Amino acid sequence: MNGLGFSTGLALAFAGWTALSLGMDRHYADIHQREKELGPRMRRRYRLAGTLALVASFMVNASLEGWGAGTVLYLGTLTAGALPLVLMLTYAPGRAVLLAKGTVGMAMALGLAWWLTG
Amino acid sequence: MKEGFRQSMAWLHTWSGLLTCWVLFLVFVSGTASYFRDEITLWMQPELHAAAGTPVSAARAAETAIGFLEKEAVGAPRWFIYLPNPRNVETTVRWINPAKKNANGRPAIEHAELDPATGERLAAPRQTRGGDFLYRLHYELHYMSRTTGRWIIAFCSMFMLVAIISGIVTHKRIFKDFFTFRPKKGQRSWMDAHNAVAVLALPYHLMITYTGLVTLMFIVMPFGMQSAYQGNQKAFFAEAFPQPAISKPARLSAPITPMAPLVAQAEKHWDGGHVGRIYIDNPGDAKASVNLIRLPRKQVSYVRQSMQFDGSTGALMGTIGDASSAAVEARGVMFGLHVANFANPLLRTLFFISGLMGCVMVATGALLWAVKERQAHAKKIAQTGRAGFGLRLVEGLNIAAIAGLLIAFGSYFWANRLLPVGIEGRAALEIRSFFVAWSVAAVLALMRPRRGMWQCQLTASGLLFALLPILNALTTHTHLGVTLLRSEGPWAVAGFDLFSLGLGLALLYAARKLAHRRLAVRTSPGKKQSTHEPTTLHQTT
Amino acid sequence: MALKPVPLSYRLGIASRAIAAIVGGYALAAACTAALALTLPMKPVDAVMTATLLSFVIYTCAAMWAFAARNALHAWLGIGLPALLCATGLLIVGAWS
Repeated sequence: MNGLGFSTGLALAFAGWTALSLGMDRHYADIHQREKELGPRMRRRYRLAGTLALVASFMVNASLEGWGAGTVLYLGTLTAGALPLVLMLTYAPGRAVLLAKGTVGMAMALGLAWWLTG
Repeated sequence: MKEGFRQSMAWLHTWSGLLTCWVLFLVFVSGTASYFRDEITLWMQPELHAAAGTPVSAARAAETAIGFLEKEAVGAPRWFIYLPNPRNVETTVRWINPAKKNANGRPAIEHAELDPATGERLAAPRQTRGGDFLYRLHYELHYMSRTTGRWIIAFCSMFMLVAIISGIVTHKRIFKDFFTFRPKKGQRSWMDAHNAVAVLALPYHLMITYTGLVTLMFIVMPFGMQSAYQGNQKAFFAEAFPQPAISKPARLSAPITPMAPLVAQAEKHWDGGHVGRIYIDNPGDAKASVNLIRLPRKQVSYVRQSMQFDGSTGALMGTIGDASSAAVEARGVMFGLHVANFANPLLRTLFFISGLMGCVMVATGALLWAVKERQAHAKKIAQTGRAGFGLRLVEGLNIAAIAGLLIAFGSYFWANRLLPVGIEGRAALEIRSFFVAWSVAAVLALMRPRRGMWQCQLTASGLLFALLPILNALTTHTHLGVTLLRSEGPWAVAGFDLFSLGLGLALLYAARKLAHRRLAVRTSPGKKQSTHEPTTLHQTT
Repeated sequence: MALKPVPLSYRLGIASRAIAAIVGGYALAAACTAALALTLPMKPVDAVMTATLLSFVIYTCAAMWAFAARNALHAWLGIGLPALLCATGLLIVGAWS
């Protein structure tokens, strides 16, 4: 079980969920403190980005543990990635976008490190 | 009911959930704990903490175990060797002792824990059921026959399954509300919390409930066997779960073949898989047979692959489990998913988190019902000064089954450290402490099911858990100072202490929050009572 | 939620549905399991395994039907008729000793 690989998958899951939540009116409003409104184009972009990140997370998990155990690991990763987001959206929504961007960057860095080490 | 499908499912969800929630909370808590039952057992046996030395190869551990058994278990028709694995540092051996009879009149099964490197018996750890008590509690309950316990659990699990499916059907805004949690809004917050822990781990909850039923299915749904096998359950099990044949002893003695080549052959056949157990029939006899059973690691399915060898020549006689039919494999996968033996520590932690979410799901469901009910009847309660019997009963059961159960768990671990080692029936006494503590808490809860009782019991359980690491430090040598700060001791023990501390602090925090809210209401009597926090009304039952 | 007294007919209807769900549902699942174990096109051991694995889906559907049905009578019919069908089939095949 590769720690770097798992962390990559987890970071992708968190980033993916965050993007999906940005594509929802309620959470978009929370995050931007009602200053901006979610247009249809941004909504589609966020949802697409979120879905892609979640699919990428699945690929990471499947390559870590195979299709069977990998799917199980993926579902657990999805849960683990969603929990902190719910807490963020409740208690510190303004920071969510920044955190998501940071997480995407971290996911890419971790992914690179994982790929390089083997 | 003419109210429509979704509404009827909402009704079904409420009642199928509520009527069994107290048992289900026990099932979820004990089940979640069981993910780490070996670690819990290790924590409860401080005498074994030192044995976590350098890892020993399976072949060597097998040889030293046989060395011990050849001395201590002469004449036993069957030996069972449980090799050390990532979760158990010691070798456990069992053997059938035909000379002794146990309480049921059958030959007694002796056991010993051995140092895998030397085969020496480890200093007998204190007598305790450890994590296995919690594991059995999870599907057999206690103080009743195993079958009765399993039927009750299966019954409640069926209610749980109906509750999950009806809950999914009735949840109107499952995607819109996916990430929603609005705290400090009374009933709505409880609902949000209930929805969040339920939906975010929904695949898990669905899986664990269905697979849980699968583990009990032959007991509660034997009708397939009845019809297709004319009631001959033995024949069905022999076909579905083949066991190696046990041959009669030849009454000729012959030395046991060395284990190392057998282990190597098995590991090669299983493509790197490890040997978990070795059963030897008729050891020391010419007709001895050795059965190597694979340790479940990466494979999700519970179908145990095994290889049978001749005990004196070492020749391979057969294999079991290499190729199972789709149906048997499906059941194996479901069983394996439920028990999660295959999971590495990381995946097990994820299962554990999901399990905790399941506990919170059940608890918030029960609490939500009580809060809703109290609000719905708020006027009537204010008038008559007394809530209805049903509501008071549920509120009392909630405290008893949730806070009271946590007190019971805490007491079990305290008893383990406090009861003197070596007294008669020690393991049973620890278990009795669990139930005595629970009974006391439950009786008090049902007598006075008020907010004050919640505070009291949450504080009690919080203290029991938070102070446990300190008790550990006072009574053993492998406390956090050693295991964590000096990085010496078994990680499992450190993990247990840390989790206990965290859980205790969380419970104390919850108790304090209850106190603050009560205080806030009392100090502002002139403020108009908002409708969303009925439990802050001065409880007048 | 208004606090008018709940009529007896409502309570009886709920009780009837509950019995249909719990007892009737179990009977239906049992009968279906027995029937499937005999009729599924696989080896007997696999048929029994598959049928038993599926039994809880049947039970859940029956329970949901019992409360989604228009009235208690429909609840019983939706569960009882299929159960009776399976049971009769089993009787004909002689699976009952």
